[in-house]
Amino acid sequence: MYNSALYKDEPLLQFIDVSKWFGPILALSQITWTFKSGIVGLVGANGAGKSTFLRLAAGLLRPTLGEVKIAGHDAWDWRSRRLIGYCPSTDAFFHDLSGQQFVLVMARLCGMTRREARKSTEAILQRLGLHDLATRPIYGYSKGMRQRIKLAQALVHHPPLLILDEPLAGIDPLGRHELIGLFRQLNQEGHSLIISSHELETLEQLTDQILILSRGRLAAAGTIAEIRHQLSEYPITIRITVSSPRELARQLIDWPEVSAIEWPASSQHTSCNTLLVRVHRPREFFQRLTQFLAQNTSWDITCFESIDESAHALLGYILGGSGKT
Amino acid sequence: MSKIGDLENPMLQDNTVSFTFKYRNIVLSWFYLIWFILAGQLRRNSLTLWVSTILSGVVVLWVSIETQRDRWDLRQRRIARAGPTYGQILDRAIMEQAYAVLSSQFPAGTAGAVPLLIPSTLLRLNQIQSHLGFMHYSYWIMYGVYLGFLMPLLTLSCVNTLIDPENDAWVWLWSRPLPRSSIYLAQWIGTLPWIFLLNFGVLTALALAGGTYGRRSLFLYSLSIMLGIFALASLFHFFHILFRRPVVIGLIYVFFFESLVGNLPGSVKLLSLTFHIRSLMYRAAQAEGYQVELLLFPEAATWEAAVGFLLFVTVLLTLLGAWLSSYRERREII
Repeated sequence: MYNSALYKDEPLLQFIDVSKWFGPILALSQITWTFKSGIVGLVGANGAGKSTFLRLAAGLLRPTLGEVKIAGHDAWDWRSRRLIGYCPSTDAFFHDLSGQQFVLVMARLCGMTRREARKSTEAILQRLGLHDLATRPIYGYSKGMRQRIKLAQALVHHPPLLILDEPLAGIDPLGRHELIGLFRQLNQEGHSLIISSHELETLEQLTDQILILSRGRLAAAGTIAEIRHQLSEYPITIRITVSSPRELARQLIDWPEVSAIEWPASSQHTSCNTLLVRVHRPREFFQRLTQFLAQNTSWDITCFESIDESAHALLGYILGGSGKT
Repeated sequence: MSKIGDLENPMLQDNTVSFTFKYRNIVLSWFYLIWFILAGQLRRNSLTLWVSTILSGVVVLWVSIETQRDRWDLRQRRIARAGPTYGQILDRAIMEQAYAVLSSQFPAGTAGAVPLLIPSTLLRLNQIQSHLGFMHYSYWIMYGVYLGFLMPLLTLSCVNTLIDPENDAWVWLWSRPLPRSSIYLAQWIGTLPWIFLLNFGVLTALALAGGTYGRRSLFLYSLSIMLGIFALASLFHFFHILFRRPVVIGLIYVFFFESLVGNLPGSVKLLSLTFHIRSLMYRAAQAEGYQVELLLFPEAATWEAAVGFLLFVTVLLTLLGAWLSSYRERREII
């Protein structure tokens, strides 16, 4: 591992008023964001600027305006790249190499001696479950294996910051489960991770820190709850199971924060005592509900949950669509 | 995620190997990168390289046929369709010259000296014929075919095979903790041995196919060609930094700029690399006493000027490319 003293006084990654133009196209606009540690999920629609964001963080691109810093150093500076493991979304390899040779070459190019590189390569291939297949040429690998070998080269020099562009794309459910476990483990070992993905549910399993990009702008950053809190006007739907739903509905419908009440179709998850309450000002609603329940203790509420407090719903609100990326 | 699942997950076994980054290892990495690039060439295929190799093969075959037919010394070739051959004209000219000398230097009564003079005249005749053949070979094969398109094409294809700008795989290199300028220099150094191998391989094949003239040209022009390869390789590497389609630009440069500008009168041709390489070859032949006026290249630069220009271009473009690569984004990544 790198000595954490290298970066302990500085945020691991900083975007300071960063804009990036590709000719006349504005890819990123005035992004300011600080990342100290942990796991953060990067989400956004196609063309939102996720890959550009990650390439700037990895020092592969230079910002047109602003600064990107890795542990206080310019990300473009080659010395910053010793702190980064970058896994691109592109699927291009030196196809004439085997997986083992590829990771070994990447390790040697990070400054490892032959012995160190061999040991580290063996260890990382073992860890990623590629050890038995490592001598096969990369062109014979499946999509999932390619993703793993890309991850292996990013991890081989044990960088404190891992920048992973769509690392779960093309991986089967079992492999995905294993990788999510690995990401958590890496985080516990002291690595910090930035992961972009279209799999919002997967990201939710992995982290509650989300960064949302929309048309090159930073639409929101923080935990899903924090983002929701910032968007106090964001409408939500609450499922309430209560012994006397019609009575409760009669009470709630007069509240100004409630826009509608519905009875869901019966299913194994809902009973005839369940109602859906559509709320357009959640914060005020919850305050009023707390007071209401404190004053009327006779309500026998057995289930109370927000059914759309997910990244998709949040994204849908922020991006103005369904939230599907 | 279930606990059992976590325990069964092999990725959760922490078997990482500790590694401490040291700056001195960067030098080691750089040498490793050169080796990687050098070795990588063996494993790669490229259309331009195949085309160049096939073209070289065709040229070698043509030269060997011409050599077999004894066509380089022009003795059998006629000046006009029904006219005498070059050999007949040369023989006549030499004999007339010898007769004139005999008439003037050996008046009547000194005929005993004639047997001594005839071998020296024949020797002179053979020498002129040999020079004429070599200059003819140099003019068509070395100046025209090799320098005109084979050498630039072989160099360009070799550089391109290695640094294919459409190969996104280079993103792996740019994400390593190595200075960008050092990657550029490693690519330059890593390709050079292959460029030399390919060029001198073709030259050797031409030398074998060209017989005496081919072997002579290999020894006489090697240094000029070596300096030319350095300059052309620097230029084609530089194109890779500047342009998205460096091969197309390279081909346009070879077939339009060099062919056109290199043969223009005045000082514009001084911008052409092949003009200076040609000048070096011309001076090398001149220094060996060949009748270089047969090469039809009266405006050749001096030896010092040509060497200076080629070295200057090599150093300038290499340093400029290294400097540009250290701050320009790679087009493969954008």
